[in-house]
Amino acid sequence: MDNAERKTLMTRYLLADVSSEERSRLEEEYSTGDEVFEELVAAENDLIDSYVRGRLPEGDRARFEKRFLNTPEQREQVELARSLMNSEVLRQRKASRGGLSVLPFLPSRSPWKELVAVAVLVIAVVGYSWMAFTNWRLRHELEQMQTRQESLQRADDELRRQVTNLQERMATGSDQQETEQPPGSTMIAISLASDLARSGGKQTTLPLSSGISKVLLVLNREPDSYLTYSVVLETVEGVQIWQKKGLTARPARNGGKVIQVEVSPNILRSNDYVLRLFGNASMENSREAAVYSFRVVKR
Amino acid sequence: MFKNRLRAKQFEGLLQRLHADRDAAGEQYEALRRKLIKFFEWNACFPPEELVDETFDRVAQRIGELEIRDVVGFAWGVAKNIVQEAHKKEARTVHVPDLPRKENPLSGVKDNEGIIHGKMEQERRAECLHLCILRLRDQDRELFLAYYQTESDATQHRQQLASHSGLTIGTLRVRMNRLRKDLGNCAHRCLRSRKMRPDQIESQLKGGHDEGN
Repeated sequence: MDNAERKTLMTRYLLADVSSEERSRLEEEYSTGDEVFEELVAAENDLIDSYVRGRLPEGDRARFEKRFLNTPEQREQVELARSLMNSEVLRQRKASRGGLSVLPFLPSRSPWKELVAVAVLVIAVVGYSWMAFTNWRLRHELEQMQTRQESLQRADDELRRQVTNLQERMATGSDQQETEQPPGSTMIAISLASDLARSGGKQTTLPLSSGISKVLLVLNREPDSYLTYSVVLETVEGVQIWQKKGLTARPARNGGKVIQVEVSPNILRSNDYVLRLFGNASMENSREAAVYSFRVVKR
Repeated sequence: MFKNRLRAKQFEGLLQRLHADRDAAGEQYEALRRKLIKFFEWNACFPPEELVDETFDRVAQRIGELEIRDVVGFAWGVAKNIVQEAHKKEARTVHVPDLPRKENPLSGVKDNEGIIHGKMEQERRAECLHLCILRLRDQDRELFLAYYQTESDATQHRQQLASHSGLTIGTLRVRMNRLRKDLGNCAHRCLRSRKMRPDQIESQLKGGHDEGN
């Protein structure tokens, strides 16, 4: 017998609508078992509630009135059920559950607690969405920066290749090279070895025509520990005509170093010049590292 | 038939046979009494309290005379006999119909006083019930209102309520039965107290609430 059939049997027993066998069996059950007794009491309460709600069929209604309205206590039970049905507390609870309940699967105790639960849920969803968006945006920016870095690296590699190419050409005798510059400007570069290194070799000559807008002196050096360099350009008579500080060296293919010094051709005349290179191990400590000489021939 | 009342000595004897521990015996006695009251009601035997007293009276008398191993089972047997006796008596009883009424010149007039009294009683009962529901512990009140708020498919709703509350359906049912009985007792005391002084009212309600819990 399933629960529904059992409930029906109990209701029929309460309405005295069972056989004597069914009656005896049920009475035997609840006389010895508390759970069955409580089930019957609950069935009685449900029967009373059905009566006051007008849900009993006519025959059952008559039976109910014959059996459940006999004593003052029984009538009081029925009136209690009627009052409960009309209870303001129950109606308010129904109204609050119907209006505010958005989580009917939760055993809500208070519409305010439900609202708080919903608010927390909404905040959690919004927070997660914002974090996901921020994460995507940061990833996108990182990708863009990586692409840019790759581009800069390629440009740097190209420049190094050009410098190395230039050095090689100078080493094979092409001491000067006119480099194609943007329209309206021409640069000439010469590679200089220090006077000590040159040891009396032929003087490097810089042909300076009127179309040259930049002169690049490429100073070759052995490896050293200087952090930065500065140069002073003098005539052979020792007159200082120009200086530059904060130069840095780049590694050369032969294992040495090169320092590139860009000089304006406007300060150069047809003359012999001496370029003194000073190495700076620190801000205060500076010493002459090398001397380079060259001849300018203006055309 | 209902003249003999359970004497103190016989009552003590009955309690001792229910359980060696007096407190446990008292609980068993009350549980049995509650069941027997319902048994008589469900068998249309009234007034049930007096029939239960008769049952215990007979059991207590027989305890001294017979070797009874199962006192509770014996009490149920006595109760069933009393039901049969009551039904036989009812079958032999001839109800005298009321004398035919003479034409009442005021028979068409509405009983306004009765209607007003009825409404006032309803209002008082509603107020008392409201008060008694509010006096329940928060958890009990919420559970009770949730249990009775549904109007359709109560079985499934109550099963879900039990599950969400961490109770078996049987435990939930027992708790609801107890709460409903307590509310009924509270409302009954409250209705009676409407005729009392305010301090007597509070005393009645407080004593009844503690008692009910």
